[in-house]
Amino acid sequence: MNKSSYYNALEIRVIENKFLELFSEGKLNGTVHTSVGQEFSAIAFAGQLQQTDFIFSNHRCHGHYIAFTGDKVGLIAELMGKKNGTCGGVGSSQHLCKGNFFSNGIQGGIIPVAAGFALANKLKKNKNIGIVFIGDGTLGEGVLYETLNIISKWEIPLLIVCENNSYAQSTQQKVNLAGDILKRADAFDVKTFKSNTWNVEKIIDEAEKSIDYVRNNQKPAFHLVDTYRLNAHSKGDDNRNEDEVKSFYDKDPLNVFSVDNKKLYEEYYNEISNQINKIVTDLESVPELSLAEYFENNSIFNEYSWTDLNSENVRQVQLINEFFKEKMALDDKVVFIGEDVLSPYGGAFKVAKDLSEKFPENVFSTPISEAAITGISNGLALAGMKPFLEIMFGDFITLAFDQIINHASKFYHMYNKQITCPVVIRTPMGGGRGYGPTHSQSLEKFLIGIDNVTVLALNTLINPKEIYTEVLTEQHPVIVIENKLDYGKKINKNFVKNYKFEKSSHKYPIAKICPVKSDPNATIVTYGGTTNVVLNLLEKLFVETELKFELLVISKISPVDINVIIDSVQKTKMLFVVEEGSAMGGFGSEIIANISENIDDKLFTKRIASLPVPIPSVKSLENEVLTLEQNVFNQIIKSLNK
Amino acid sequence: MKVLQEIKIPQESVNDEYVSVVQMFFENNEFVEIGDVLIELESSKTIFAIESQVDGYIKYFCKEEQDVSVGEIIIQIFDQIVENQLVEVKKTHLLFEEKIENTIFSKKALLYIEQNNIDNSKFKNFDFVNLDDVFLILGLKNSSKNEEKTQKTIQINVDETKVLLEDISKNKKREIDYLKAVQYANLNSLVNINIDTKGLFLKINPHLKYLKNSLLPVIIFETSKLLKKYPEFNAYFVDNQIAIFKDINVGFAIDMDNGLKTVKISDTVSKSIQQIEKEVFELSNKYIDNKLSVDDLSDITFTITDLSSEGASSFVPLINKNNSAIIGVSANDEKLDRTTISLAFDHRVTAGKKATIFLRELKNRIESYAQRESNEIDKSIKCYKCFKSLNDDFNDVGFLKVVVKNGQEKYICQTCFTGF
Repeated sequence: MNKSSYYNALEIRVIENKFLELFSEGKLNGTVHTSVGQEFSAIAFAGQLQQTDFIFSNHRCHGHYIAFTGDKVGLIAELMGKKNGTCGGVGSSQHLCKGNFFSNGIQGGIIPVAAGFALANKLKKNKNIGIVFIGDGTLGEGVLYETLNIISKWEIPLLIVCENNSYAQSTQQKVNLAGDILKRADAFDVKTFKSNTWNVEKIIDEAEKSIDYVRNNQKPAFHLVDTYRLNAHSKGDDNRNEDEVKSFYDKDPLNVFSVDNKKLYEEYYNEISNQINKIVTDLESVPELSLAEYFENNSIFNEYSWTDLNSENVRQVQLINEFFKEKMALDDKVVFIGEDVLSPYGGAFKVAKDLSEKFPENVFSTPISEAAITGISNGLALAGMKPFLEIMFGDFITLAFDQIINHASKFYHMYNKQITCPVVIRTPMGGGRGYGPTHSQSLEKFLIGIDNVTVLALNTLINPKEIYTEVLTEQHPVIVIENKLDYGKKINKNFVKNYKFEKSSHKYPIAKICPVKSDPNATIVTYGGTTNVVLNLLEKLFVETELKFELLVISKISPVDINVIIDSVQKTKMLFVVEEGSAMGGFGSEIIANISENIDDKLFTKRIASLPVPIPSVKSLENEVLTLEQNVFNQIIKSLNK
Repeated sequence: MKVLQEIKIPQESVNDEYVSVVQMFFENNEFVEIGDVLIELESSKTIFAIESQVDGYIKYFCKEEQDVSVGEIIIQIFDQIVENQLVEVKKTHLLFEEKIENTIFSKKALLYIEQNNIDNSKFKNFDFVNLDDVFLILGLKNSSKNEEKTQKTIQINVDETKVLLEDISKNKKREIDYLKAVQYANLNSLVNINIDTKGLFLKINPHLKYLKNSLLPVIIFETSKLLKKYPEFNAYFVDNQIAIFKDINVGFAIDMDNGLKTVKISDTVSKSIQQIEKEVFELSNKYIDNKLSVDDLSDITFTITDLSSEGASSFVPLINKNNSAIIGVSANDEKLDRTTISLAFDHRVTAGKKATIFLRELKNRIESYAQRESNEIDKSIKCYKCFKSLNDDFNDVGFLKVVVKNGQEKYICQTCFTGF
């Protein structure tokens, strides 16, 4: 019998019981999910990893955390909301991070992230492995199966440990689970293991076997652990049969140990209790994180200047492709991921042309699994790689929202700035090719304003190489919107008579197109694919409306360097915002709101956008729905004649 | 088909940016004869009519009650009936486009340029030309196009339970438009000075025929002389430049139930006090009879407004469009022998010190009339008791100056003084 295992397991239990006590005293903010009854899973798996390995865990993560990091003070301080907590009190019970330990409160989402982290280890050829802990409730999440498929196919060294306590919150497993759990992993040809927490020696042996399997074979495995939590899912939400709970209480190894080795148990218990009580007492005087320490309000009102814009005379898609060829040759951390990106096909829009031949180890052509490949990219980024993920059509990015919003966007702040996630997601948006309702949308409105995520939109005025070279230096997530129709256009070939073309000194330059001599008396703001639409209209609009427009083409659409727009509208008092998505809640709404807050004068403002209806494939209708030239022209004229 | 006469809204002579069409006297394609009144227009200052100078068929390019921009063609008279005017316009449109290189014209600008046969080389260095640019080049508009925009719109809430709303007249609107050209900048200032009028009218009146006991003709006369010396007061501010008038045309304001008008005494500096007085009198009569011409109301380079007859002790006159200053004349205080004159000026053009020097010199010049040795004695002085004039004082004894009950100084003849 390994006494230290019992000691460590008891430590987890005492700490979690302390959490419940502190909660009832009102000393914990938020909720607590305890793993009382499941501790030996944590001891067996997390306790047997090397410190260079990693763990991703879920909402019930305290045991895993202590078993892996041994950081009791950091954990207790975290739940007490103290600034010396492992995440400064920001994450609390469900969102922990220390070294290579990460947990998140979203079911399933951590699985591909863990796979990405493991893929990074594989690319670095360092033999480190990782474990991702899930519960049996998570078996309902589709992203698990997307990831099982990929880790099997790509032979990623990741061990999935499924702690099966037979309940999803308060719902019995038999209500929601079909078939057999292990068969699910089997179906993907992933090696399976099975053990339970009531046979301590066996689970420790089996855990070791599965860990060794993953490490030695550099292949994934799935380990099912039958267990039972003796407490409620969280706190009061327990409607299980009392006899059932009691039967597991009686066979619980720590309870058995307390009866069989009463004296030793009490010795352990007192020692641990004293230690934990002292930690709690010591922590009570520690202050909480201040807002200034947590939130940096980076001013976007930076100085800027203008320089002339150069013409490249090269197609946009070729320049993006060149960027990857150049950077991947120099930096083996750059990884290109996407569906259908292998040569000779090279991706739906040929951005990946020849890349897989030149850099076979760093180009991943993926299954159709947007959620999983986004998560894998997140994991690669967390592990220090520079992943560039291509989502084949912008419309499909909705499938990746959980990874963008609940993972990539959150990691930096919820882990109290210990790590960054410099993932880059590229995707083409826009219609005009008759691709219809689900392959033509401009969904930027759903992407702008996400915390800590920069959203860029390429256009045909600024060299995309310039943009991507800056993107490569980013520490936080970036989404780059490309435009299907722009890929084939040459950069800045579309000069307009009597207009000068300039770009701002910003990291992601704003292009300004203004009359050579005259003072402009109206401002148009746009980005991406509608840039060419507006450029082609400038002369016609002047002839009809008398307005000398200054056009600002924004590269960084979230957050926007709004002072440039303010400076322009301050002069012109007229602002049109043109976007290809529909108007409500969009980019134009945001810009106009921001401008209204910053300029006191009466302004004329107008959003020019596509109609709020799914984009039809049929050409005549598509032409009428989208912000194509005639529509933009008509909308502007109509707004002026109101 | 030939255009025999083309009528545009008078350009140089009117400061307004637009006039309103009051009445049109013919239908399109009707035959008109020389001297027929074709149209009546209303400017900010007056209603005026335009007559035909030829016999021919008329075509209007406006409607009644429409506001028409200055310089715009409103009438053409043809030698035959006009069938389709538009075709011809389109043709010239195309020809024009071919001639111009690089410059891009708005539709409105192009139409205006064609209709007015404006020399397009004026726009050679322009990137874009809209109607504002055309007006700017023609001097029909100040380049202060953005200035109005930068003015903040002040929202005033109206509680209609507490007030009765009454529309302001078209005349008042024009007046506001006209005056705000200078006032909007809020950079106007004011200097007052008192003129000692003791014995002044006694010396001035003999020179005056119609306007006895009025300082106006003398002030107009002396001001015109000073404007030559101080040209910045005979000027106006435009687009960070000062436009100095070559001529001196002092105007004076009249308001006698026919609306506030400012009328011109052209080439003032060349005229005598008597000539000026006569013109003031004649112009006032024309005002009363509503017979002022556009020319009477245009090209005023400096304005004097005289509220002395209304008893004002002092006031702030408002500077007119395309002027840099205005003099206000208040009533003579007979007890103190004092008249206040005020000079409001555009501080963008000049400054307080210069304005004070200008005003002080004017004061000195006017007061000097009282000191002048005059060979002419005002023989029209009347005895306040018997109304006998000095002319009728055949004994040549002379009149006495006395102070009467109310403190005023009056003249009395020896007969009335000593008693019969």
